[in-house]
Amino acid sequence: MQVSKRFCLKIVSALSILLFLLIWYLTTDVLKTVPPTSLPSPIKVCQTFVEKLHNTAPDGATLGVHILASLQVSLTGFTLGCVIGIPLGIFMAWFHRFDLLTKPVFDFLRTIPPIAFIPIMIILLGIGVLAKASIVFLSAFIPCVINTYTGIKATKPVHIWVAQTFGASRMRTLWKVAVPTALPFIFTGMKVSLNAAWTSLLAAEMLGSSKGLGFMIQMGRLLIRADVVVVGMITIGFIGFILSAILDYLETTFVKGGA
Amino acid sequence: MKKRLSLLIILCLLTACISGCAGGNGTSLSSAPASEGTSNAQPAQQNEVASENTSIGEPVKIRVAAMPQQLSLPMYYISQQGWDVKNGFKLELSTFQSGAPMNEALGADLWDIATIGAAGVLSCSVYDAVHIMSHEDSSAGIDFMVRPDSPVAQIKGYLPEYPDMYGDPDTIKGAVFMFPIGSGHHLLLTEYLNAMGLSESDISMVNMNHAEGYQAFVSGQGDFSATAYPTTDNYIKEGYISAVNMSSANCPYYDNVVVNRKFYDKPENQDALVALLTQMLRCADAFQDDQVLLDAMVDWYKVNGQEVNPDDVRNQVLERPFLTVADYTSSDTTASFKRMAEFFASTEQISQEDLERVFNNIRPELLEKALEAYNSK
Repeated sequence: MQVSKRFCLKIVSALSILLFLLIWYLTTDVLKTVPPTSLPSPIKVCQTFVEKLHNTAPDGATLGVHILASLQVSLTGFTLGCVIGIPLGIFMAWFHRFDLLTKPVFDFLRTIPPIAFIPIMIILLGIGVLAKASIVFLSAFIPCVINTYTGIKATKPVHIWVAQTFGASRMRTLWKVAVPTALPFIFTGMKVSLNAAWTSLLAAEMLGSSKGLGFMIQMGRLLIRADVVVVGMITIGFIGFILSAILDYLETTFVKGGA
Repeated sequence: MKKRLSLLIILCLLTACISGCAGGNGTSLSSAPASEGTSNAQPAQQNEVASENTSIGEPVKIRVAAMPQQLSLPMYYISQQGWDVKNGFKLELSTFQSGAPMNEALGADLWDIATIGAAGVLSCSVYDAVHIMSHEDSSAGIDFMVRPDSPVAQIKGYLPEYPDMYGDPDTIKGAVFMFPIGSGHHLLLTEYLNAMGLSESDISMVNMNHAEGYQAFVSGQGDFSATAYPTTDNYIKEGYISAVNMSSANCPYYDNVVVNRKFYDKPENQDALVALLTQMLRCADAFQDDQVLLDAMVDWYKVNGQEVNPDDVRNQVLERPFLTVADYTSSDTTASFKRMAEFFASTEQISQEDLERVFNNIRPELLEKALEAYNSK
């Protein structure tokens, strides 16, 4: 009974996508209420998608090249953001003096949009992958720190007292009690970071690049090729979906009791 | 029954929503441009609703898409001098920062006529706009700069037919070029590489606007940086060298006047367009006086929020002359636009079909009438 209900729900989800595609098709191809330069038909988008797999026109690279370039930048920045942001959030939340020292700087930096750092990054790091990855890092780093910090702070005092009663050291209490408690928050932070990473990636790629999905979208805009823009958007959505699914899987694997 | 009815209503609403997102299309009413690239040159005028004002005795309203640059100066000057109302039309200027938002605004039917550069090719290929005139030689100031200690700067006149061009194939190969892809600079690069017997695969291209390109270049990035006025002056002051420009590459580059197809196709607008072109010829003659041109340009900058010193902009203004009657009668002034369209097609940014559409949309008839009218006066 439970299985059939779940199956029905999945069918409904699939139907919602089909309904969206149907409306899109009706609006563009059948009723033609929207000009193709504003919104291309789903069929045209599919054609462009297939064409972009092997054709470099009109932006100078195939879709695969654009995807790889974007993944290289986004995953580098995202990984760095997580690797640095999560431990920083843990230390800030667990060690009061460290928190006093770093929080004012962090609170100041987190309010600045990462895109505002682009001119400085160009001067400091040039126009290569590193500069773009740094922008992505700044975007990914902040949600990781905030969520990890909140997660550690959310540890119930009674759990800490129990650990202390059993003679656990402060560091052991951190690793055995606080960090596992914070894991759902940490994963949520990583998901938010992933989204922020892609958002800033597009902004970074619109400046100083010759490949990448952001560049492809910008060229599509410049050349008034809405089909190329939509292909770029769908590709980003699809990659984001896959990466989110991977994070969901990791969350259910590592978080005690499931997500 | 209720479920079916609900589904039908949802379908209709969603369809209406998507259709509504398309913006104005096909009606004569339009609000002032709200594109991200717009700024208010004449806010009071922009907020007016453009209507089809074609009744006898009243001037025809022409919504002009302008840029805060020299190519749009004639439109401002005509409006300032009152030459528009006196000749049966009324200009309403809206300014855009570049050709790309201008084209987006054309898609939403927000302007009737535009002064535009390379992006005019896309106006004609995608939106079926009509090219009626090339009006300004803006070759000067479109350069690729190199550092004085660059190997490229050590070789000048490698090719006898291009005596002012710097570099040779060996020094250019592998270089990093920073420029806005798909712009006039892209055309210049193609000409440069072709002259040197190279192709785009021999170099690295980085898509950058002029301001960011300058910032990156002075901080040591890239080998060639694209520049246009007013940034060109900064490079020259700091001792950088122009390795190639439109003039040294023997590649004339003109700015253009294109008309929204919907406006062009209305017979009642034809006379207004001829009158406008006639006044543009009058402007070009007036601008033969350097001081008039300089003063008008400084004023145009001011209207757009830029305070400039006339001495600082003298070179950049005077180096880009407006085409006069003599130019139109002695040469094919549409050649630059055609070359640009061919370049777009050669780099597969537009298809061959689009290229044909661009060529079909180059219509010199109105200019011919304007020349006739101007000469008769």
